Amino acid sequence: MRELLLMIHPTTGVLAILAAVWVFVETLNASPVRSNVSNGASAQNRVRLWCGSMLTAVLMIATLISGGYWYVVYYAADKAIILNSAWPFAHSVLMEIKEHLFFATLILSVLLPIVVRGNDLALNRGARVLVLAITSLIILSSLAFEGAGAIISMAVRIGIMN
Amino acid sequence: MNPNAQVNQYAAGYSVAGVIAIILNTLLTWAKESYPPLLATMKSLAHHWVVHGVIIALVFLILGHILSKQSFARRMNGGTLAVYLCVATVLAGVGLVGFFLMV
Repeated sequence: MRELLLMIHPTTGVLAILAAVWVFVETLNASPVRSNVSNGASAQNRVRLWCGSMLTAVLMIATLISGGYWYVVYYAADKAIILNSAWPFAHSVLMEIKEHLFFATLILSVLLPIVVRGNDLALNRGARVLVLAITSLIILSSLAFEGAGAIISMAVRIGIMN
Repeated sequence: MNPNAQVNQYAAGYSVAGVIAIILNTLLTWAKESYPPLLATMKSLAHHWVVHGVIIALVFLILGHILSKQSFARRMNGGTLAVYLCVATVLAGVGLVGFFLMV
């Protein structure tokens, strides 16, 4: 069970990154073509933007729940191993940064659909810039977390082997 | 102000709330790691990380709701908000990295 949880966490994290990339690209290509459904952005573009932004938020929340549960219930044992390993910085620096800075990424992920929902990204340059900034921050921070998580997992392995 | 650069009130209100919550996240981390009684209080409620997350989430959601009803939220430029969010996130990240490298 705990191993499965530890696999779900980075999986949903990567999927959230992909969803954010999807929103980034859709925003760059926000279409001003008029349609019968909406005045401004093409209807399909608007739907994809909404779906992508909601998916980003939902997947990031799933990442929080799976990782947070594992952290609260199971991490103490791994923490002890890491601190006694050759890579104690994996906890004292990387894990501490990851567990706290993640809240910023979560806020950005929840903010994304709020911004996408009420603004026509095809016609509103300001909203477009804001969405591009939010998705960029989500992607860059999440990639950093993925790397940090890999180092933390390796530190546990090093601690067990030694 | 270019109306084609202004975002709607909810985007503005929640973006500003996000900036505040992101900065507060770093400040709360500094505080609880530096002041043991605060950490002990948080641990007495639940796991300190859970309490931390609930505080930040509530600040974001409640402030976002309040700020989105204010008059300034109807005339905020999306580009300006983007800069605020980028600066806040970078400062928050640097603040956390620097703190845990020194501790």
